[in-house]
Amino acid sequence: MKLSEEEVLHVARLARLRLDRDEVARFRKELSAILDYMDMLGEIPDHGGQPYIHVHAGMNAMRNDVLAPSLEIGEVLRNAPGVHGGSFEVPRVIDED
Amino acid sequence: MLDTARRYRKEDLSPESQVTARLEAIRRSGLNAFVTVDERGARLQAAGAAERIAEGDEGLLLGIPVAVKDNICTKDLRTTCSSTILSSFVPPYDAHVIELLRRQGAVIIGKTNLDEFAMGSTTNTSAFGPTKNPWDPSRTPGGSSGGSAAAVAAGLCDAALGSDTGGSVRQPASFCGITGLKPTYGSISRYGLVAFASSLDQIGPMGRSARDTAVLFDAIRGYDPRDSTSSPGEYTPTSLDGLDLRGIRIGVPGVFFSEGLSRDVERSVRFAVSLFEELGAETVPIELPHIRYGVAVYYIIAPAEASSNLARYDGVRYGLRKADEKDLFDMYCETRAQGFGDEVKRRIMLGTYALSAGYYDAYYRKASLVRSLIAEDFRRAFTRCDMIAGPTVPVTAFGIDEMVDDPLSIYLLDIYTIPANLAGIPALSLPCGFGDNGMPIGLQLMAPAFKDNVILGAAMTFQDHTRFHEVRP
Repeated sequence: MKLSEEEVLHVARLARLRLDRDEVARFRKELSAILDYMDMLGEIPDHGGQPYIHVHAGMNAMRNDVLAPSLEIGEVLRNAPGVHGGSFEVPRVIDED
Repeated sequence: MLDTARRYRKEDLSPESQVTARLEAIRRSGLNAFVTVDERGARLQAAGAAERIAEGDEGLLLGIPVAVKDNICTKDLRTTCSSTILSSFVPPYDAHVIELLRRQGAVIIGKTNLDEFAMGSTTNTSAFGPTKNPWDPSRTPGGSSGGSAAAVAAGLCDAALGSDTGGSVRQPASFCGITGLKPTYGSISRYGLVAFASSLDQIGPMGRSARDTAVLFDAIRGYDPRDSTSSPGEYTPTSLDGLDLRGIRIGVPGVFFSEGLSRDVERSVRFAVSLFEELGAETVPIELPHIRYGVAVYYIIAPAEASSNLARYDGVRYGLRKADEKDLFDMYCETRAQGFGDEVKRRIMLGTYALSAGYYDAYYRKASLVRSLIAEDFRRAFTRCDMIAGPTVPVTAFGIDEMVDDPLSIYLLDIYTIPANLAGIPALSLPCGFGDNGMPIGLQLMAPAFKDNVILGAAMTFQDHTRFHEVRP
């Protein structure tokens, strides 16, 4: 298989996903099969081409820099799972010592 | 939808009674097409529309019940993306397309089911359970806009909005026997569309006919400075007269009729092409040599962009939080483990891998190079033809429980729809027949960027000469 168990766990950590044992085994198998399929891209030589950027390459839509009202703080916090005063509340980030 | 608008003017139907009838149909349908039905809001909007009609307002959308895919933000109306992680999210603002619909007096009747975060082709990955196909409830309506397609086909609304990243408007339109457009990239603002793969996502209109679809398309497109990919070009109304097909060159790519295409689909699509010829069009064989790499390119680029877009679901600003974790890192990991379903995790993993150190060049950069070649294939083809015709999906709607175990085999069904997203060009699906199992078959038409009116017009003319779009489940 293309991916090792360690690689799956490494990617899961980068993606901030906790996977259980079954998921690690299953994703290892499924992702390896999908990556095997991607090998067909190797048939195409690398040189000379340009990476795709935008369907309308060359067009850059700039908007005017004008002040406009944004959402009220209450509205912004309405969906937050943890709120303290006018802020989002999160678990402690910095250790006490 | 256009019939409904006409009947409102003849006063043999009112928006209130139309909305009541649609709400009743939703209750009785048993299709699980909706995640949220806004009964109170819909009745209020219908009453407002009735007043405007009485005052002589001619707007075609006035009082029309429209269903909206549940990944498009509606102010004060829950928007879940059919995901546990957003199951209680209530947007503080309307998407651009919703602002436009409200201004024109459309009635937002409810939010339709989808594959979680629009990742899938069946609605099976929805946290709220699969939608059923109104033609045969044991079969899938397709996806990811399966709820919208089923709602239109079953008469639960007059028209609907979907979104299309790799075929999510066209494939369910094909499976449910309706018309659906994936517009040119940049022609409809995605402000308020929950992002999946930003270089591919487009909102698309879905209707019973090409004319309904065109009217809804005109209602929601236009420049919006809040989406930096929104195109500032001219927007002229789409003609509802249909396209005179005499002298129109239709490209027929051999690669769209090769292995994997089921025989009944091929038969109906070839019939449709021959009807275009009878109406005066000329067919031209064309080559699209890099299309065969489309699925591989798409399933690198879309998951890569998704892994970045979905990083925002971290349990801090909105959505689910697994609260008993003491540490921020664990809180992120546990929240996302419980909030996302299998397919979303699979794509986040795939995308994170494709962007990770040491693999970026081999996967993401390589896929972007090949994407350019696919776009170039189309550019070259469109020097020889005005539009391209082929099947939308290689098969008709399959059983809800089929193909659940093999993600790659489901991905491969997107082979005909993915290229238009990769190249940014418009593409639509319209009904062109029925399979051996009685399920609808879709014809796909594609055109150069900003020539949406050409394929809409061709579809109108096709529907003037056929009755497939009028058959009801």
